[in-house]
Amino acid sequence: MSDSVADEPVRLTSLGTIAGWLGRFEPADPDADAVEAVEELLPTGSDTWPYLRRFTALTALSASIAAFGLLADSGAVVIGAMLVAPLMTPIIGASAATVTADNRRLGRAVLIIALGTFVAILVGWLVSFIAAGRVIDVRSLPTEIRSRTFPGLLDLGIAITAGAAAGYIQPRRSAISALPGVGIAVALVPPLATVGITLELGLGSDSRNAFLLYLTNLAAIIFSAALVLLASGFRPHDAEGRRSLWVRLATTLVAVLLVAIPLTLHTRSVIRDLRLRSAVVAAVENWDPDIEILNQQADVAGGRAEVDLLVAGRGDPRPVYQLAEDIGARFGGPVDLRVRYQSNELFVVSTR
Amino acid sequence: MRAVRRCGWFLLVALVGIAATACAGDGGPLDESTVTVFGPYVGADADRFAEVIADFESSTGIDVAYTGSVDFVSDLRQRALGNQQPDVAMVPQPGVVDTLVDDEVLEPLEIDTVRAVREGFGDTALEATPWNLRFAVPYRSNVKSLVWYRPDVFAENGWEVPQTLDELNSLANDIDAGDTMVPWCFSVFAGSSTGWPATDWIEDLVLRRAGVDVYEQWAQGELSWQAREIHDAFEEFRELVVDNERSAGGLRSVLQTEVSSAGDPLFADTPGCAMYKQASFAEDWFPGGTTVGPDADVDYFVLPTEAKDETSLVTAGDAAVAFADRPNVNRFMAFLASADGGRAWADEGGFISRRTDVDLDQYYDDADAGVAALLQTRTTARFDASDMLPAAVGSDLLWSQITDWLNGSLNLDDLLASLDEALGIED
Repeated sequence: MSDSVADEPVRLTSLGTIAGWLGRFEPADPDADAVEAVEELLPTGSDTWPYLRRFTALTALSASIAAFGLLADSGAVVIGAMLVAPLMTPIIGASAATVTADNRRLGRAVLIIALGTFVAILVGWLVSFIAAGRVIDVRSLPTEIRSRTFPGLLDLGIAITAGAAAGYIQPRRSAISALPGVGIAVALVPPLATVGITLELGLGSDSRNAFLLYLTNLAAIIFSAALVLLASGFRPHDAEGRRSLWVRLATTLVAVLLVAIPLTLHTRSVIRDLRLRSAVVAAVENWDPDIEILNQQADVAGGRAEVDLLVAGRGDPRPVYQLAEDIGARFGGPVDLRVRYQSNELFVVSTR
Repeated sequence: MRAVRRCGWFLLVALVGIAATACAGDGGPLDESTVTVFGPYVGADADRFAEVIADFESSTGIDVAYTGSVDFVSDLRQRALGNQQPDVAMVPQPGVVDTLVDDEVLEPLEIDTVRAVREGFGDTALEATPWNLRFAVPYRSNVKSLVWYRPDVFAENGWEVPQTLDELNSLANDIDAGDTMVPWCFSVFAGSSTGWPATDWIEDLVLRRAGVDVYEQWAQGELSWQAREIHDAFEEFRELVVDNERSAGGLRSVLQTEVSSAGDPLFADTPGCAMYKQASFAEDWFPGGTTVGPDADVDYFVLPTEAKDETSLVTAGDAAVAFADRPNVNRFMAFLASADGGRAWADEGGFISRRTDVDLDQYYDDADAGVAALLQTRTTARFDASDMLPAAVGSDLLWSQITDWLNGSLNLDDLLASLDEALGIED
């Protein structure tokens, strides 16, 4: 019986066919130039200290440029800081050490990343200490800072694809000119500078969110760059390293998943807020088409919509409970609504 | 190499998993079996009433949708006359209920519900009730005659809780003469209901200075607003509380500060006022974590009367009325008429009832139990007179005109004459 089964041709589904194809895929070993390009990421021996000095100086300068750019709310300056930042090097080094099971290089990479993280936060704090009190209002943070305190799943997507690009570019010297683009896309130093600034301003929650953005970028880059390096043929040299590869990659994946949890929650809340805001606009239109929304604050907190509206219209407003009930029906949950109504009247006066 | 291949699969699946996000579902229109309730509870009070509703929903499976509005009285009037009635309304004014009865828009209560009210409240509590018990289920009660103060501030300044109205006047004068704070926290701004806190002061003074009989005549519309007793109460209120910047922030603050924020200066590190006369529900407006009691952050005394051994209370409260005669609606009304109807709110705090079948130890804290005890033990307790007036006067004209009088655009004689005219009372 078992023989007859074994003799039958195996029928595969489409997914099974793709799986079989992927299973047969075995990348060729990287050439010597590619290996050298990756090993150069983390200098050893007598090159170590000059590298660390250079790394620390560039990180401090980059964080300083980023912090001033953030406080000045200048996107162009912040992008400039990303180009100066050297953090991508040890991060890709950590990815390579992960897939080649080189624990010494991995440990060195982690220490250098920790050094860069500390320096960037410290510089952000110092710049804020010197300048922030004079140039910004903590109740109304610049957009460049604010945008780094609301990480979401899109940021995770950016970091994963940017990390994959870095993993692809690094072993290919012919494509190395594209690497600054990766640095700009993933932006490691600006979130750290934001952590420093917001810490100095006493905005603990914003600090945590900005650090979460940094951790997102860090974990996602290490993970996806490792994956691409693996696909490029980088792998452990010995049998023991190959056996531990699964554990190593799973560890980086767990790190990504850990940051993905708060990001998912945050993204869900952003989506809920967007849905609520569109529900509010539609309900106001339905309530009174002649009403103009001058200002709208709508957030979902604890499953409840909290809506604060400043509207203008002519004549007496229609009963506001109708608007609240309509928003509630569209949003699908309880609503706390505050409406300030302004009489929108035009006065024209001429004197001669 | 097999390990490497397995890794590829594992990570591919993981990447897809990371990219996935979930979305919440949409709400839909209300089912026709849903009981719609309209009331004045918003914010924290709406949350607490939602707990009551959840109790009902879990025990019956009937859905209830609640909407609360600070413009409740005018909105309800509009809904009642515009064929947009809710199934049930929680009405804070007996006069509004009487107007709705006259408009023939309310459904009478089922006999069992009426019986449950009578048994739950007892004859004494219902003896002087202003509610039309054929249509209304009395629900939440509150005491208007409380004066909140900080025991630490009183002790620091050597002030004693006044035992008579004259002692209160002396205390207010002493505080006014000092340079640390003014005697009162007070404001009247409440959107379309602006003015109501002033009516509470005047009612308390009429009850104390003129006595129960005069108060009842006045509340029933049988005494002219131009009568000496009423005129004097208006004058005394203005002199005691408003004139000469006796309220924190002066007249400007009286007219422009939200009622719910009027007591804020009492709690400041450097207090802006020494006393804050406001109803028992003002506890909801105090800063979070405020404790109430003789040795706590804040305490209260009942606004004194002329004699030491007397106490009088002006009370107020809400009652439920039904606009629809459907089984689900009747079950909800019966629930509100039972002791269970307020239990969830009492558990959260801020719910006091005149029911006699609720023990004092069932209240949220000593402050709630203390006010409930006041309601159960004081015999001189009369309902808020302005709440008993027809809605067009008690919830509209009186509030707006008393505000005009405070801001100086209307003199007292004209105010009182216009109220007499609106109520059809001849001087």
